[in-house]
Amino acid sequence: MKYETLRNTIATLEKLRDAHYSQLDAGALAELNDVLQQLRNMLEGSERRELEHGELVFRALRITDIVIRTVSNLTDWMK
Amino acid sequence: MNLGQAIKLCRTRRGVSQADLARQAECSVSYLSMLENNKRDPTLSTMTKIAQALRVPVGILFFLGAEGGDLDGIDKTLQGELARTALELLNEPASNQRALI
Repeated sequence: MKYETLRNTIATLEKLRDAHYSQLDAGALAELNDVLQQLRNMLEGSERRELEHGELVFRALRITDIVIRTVSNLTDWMK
Repeated sequence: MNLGQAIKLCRTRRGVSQADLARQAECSVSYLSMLENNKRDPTLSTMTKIAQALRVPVGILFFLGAEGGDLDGIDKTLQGELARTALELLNEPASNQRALI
């Protein structure tokens, strides 16, 4: 993952968590924190396995989806 | 909502042709083209198939299609940052996991 993408993803997910943590259930919050920790590990160079990289990108997108659906009216648009 | 633009954005970020996406999403190329040009409204089922083919959560596809005042409950600035981040992530190699609703 590009360094800038990684850094921006961490910063944006942190903002999302800080703005809406009180609206999230424990499972979503735990997943968000775990994704953030793994992204930070990748930024520090301790996580370099390519197979896990693809999975982590998907998890970052999926937790973003879950949080947005929880805190906004997005689900209404999906009916 | 501009779902056509969202589909096209995700498809091009993933580097997938219309023909390949149509095949994987089990629809015709002409139908996909009409969706991308907002000449047809996709069903949730179609959006889910497209999302799975592009390996993106279907909610992200809808989120990227949100316009102006479509979304309540989330700060507009944060919404923009999330959209940019999602698009950056779509440039990254996809995992083999299938997107779920």
